[in-house]
Amino acid sequence: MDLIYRGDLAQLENFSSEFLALGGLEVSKYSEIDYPDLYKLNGIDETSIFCKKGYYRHAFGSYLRQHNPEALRAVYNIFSNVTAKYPDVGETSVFVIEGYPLQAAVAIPEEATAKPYRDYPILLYVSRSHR
Amino acid sequence: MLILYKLPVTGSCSCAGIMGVMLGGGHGYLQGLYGFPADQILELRVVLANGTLVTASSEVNEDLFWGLRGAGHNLGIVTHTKYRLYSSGPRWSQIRLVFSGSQLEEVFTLSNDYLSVDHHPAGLILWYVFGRRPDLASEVSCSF
Repeated sequence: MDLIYRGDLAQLENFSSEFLALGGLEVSKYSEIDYPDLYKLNGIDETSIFCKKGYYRHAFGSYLRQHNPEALRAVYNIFSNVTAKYPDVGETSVFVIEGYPLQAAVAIPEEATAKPYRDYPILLYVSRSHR
Repeated sequence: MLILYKLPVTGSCSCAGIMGVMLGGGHGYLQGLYGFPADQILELRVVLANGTLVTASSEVNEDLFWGLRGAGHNLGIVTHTKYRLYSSGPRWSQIRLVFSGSQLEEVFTLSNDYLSVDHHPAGLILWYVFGRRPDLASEVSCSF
């Protein structure tokens, strides 16, 4: 998982302390990132498998109000099994959960524009790129 | 080296460009700070289905302006947009954690605490990706 923050690393480490305390397999820390460079760092720039020309892409998105660990466990197991069975699918597929802050989004009333669902913090989707 | 630039509110994937993202609302790193990409639009020039070219803003063709910000792909061909830019502001930081599936429930239970405004400042995005990591030990299979 990535915690991406507009501000300095010391503040981000403070916000992230409970996640850091969980341990995990690897930790990497980055600082002094310019906004355009976030895309390369997160594998969603024009050179990435998920963006570059010449591929078809399928993605199916949903909004959620909160995470459901039980459902995510089921998704994780399916993803793990399918990508183990079909390695080429594993190389070109991801299941992504995007967790966004909402402050400025909900400051605008929902009726003010045609954009619905201002107050859903989570967007998740499975995506595959193939030729 | 200090780089100063003006920042549009873009989506979270650079290949999607900016205009298509804006017309559908959009999601991106600046959402908590400045809103959706669609929220930055001040004015558009649009070719309608009957071939006329019109302006839409908060002062003219207000209904069309409403629809273009969130459902805009359905309404015409946008030829010109005026939208807000922001100063680049502080640079960004990122912490990348890799967990094995055995920690899934822990991580997402903790993540639910982060959904409250107290824990989730406007400039913080939490991003999770289930993916294969062949370089990790074979019993890990997928990480996130």
